[in-house]
Amino acid sequence: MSGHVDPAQLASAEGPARRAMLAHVLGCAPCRERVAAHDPAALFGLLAWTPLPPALLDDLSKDVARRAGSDRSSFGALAVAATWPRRAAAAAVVALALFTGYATLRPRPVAAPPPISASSRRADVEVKSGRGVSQVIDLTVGDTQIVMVYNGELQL
Amino acid sequence: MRDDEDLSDLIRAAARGDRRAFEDLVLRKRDKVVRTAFQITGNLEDAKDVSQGVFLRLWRVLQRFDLEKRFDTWLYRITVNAAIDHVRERGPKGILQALPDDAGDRLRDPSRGADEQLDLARLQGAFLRLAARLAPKQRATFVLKEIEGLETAEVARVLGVTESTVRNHLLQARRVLREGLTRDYPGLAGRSGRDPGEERS
Repeated sequence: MSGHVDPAQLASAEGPARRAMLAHVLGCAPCRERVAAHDPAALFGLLAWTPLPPALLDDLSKDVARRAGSDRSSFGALAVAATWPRRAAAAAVVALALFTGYATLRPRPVAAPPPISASSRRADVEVKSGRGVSQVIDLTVGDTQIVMVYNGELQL
Repeated sequence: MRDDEDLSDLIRAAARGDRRAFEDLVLRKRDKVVRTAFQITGNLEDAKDVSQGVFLRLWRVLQRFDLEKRFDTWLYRITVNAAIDHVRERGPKGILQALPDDAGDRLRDPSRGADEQLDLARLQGAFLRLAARLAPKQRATFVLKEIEGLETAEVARVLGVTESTVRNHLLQARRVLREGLTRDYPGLAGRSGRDPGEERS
């Protein structure tokens, strides 16, 4: 980039143009001073050139590679381990069914529920309605009594 | 920092379980991930932990990545979320850890005088101290837009917010950082000695 950087242009620039301006500012003390005078916070754009410790980056790569390897293999082993008992159980059921003439696969009869008693005890709900309109919904089924009353001025 | 190289073959291979391809992908993206995590957590060790989690997560979910979309946007989203979660779990009083003392030396241009050089390690230290005053989303917005150089629309996609929210976060973050720099680090851009902010910390 030739020439110096206009701090106002830098403030509104984006993308490669901004990066080229910052690259110039990084090595140009007069431009840095002009940028700092215009907006000192713009200097933090230079942190894009922050050098990271190479040892840390190498450690990261090694750790990730090692853990990714064990991660993938352990996930695979877990997946196989998880499916094995289900497969074994399914095979056992099929084998048992074949030997017992499918008896084990037949559904067992389920006892029918008792009929709803007509003499079920029910609470008496007396609604002393106020001036507002009441709405009473009785949802009683069998021994379970549910009564819903809607009235803003209700007295039970 | 943008990286628009076409990585679709590499991503496709890694998604199929090719570990060599995945390791290559880590090698290409680790700077971006570690730097973003570092600027948000303020600590290199935390950044390394976050990055490790990000890449392992990537390894597990890479097959779900839609190749029609931009990989870096996806990677930044995972990284920022992981870094913010890490900071929240650790608490706001995390230990700041600036770069090693020789970090600035590696950028020095021997053809320029000492007075002409920008001390990047000092600039980094100032950012970590001042950015600790920002809300996590404000800080993430500033890091993505100003340091990583993403465009406003992409920052919005990474953070899952509107562009107007990005501009708002950025405005607030710049104001806090500008005030802190002016008050505590008046000589940072130029060539003066140590700043009051550094003496206080």
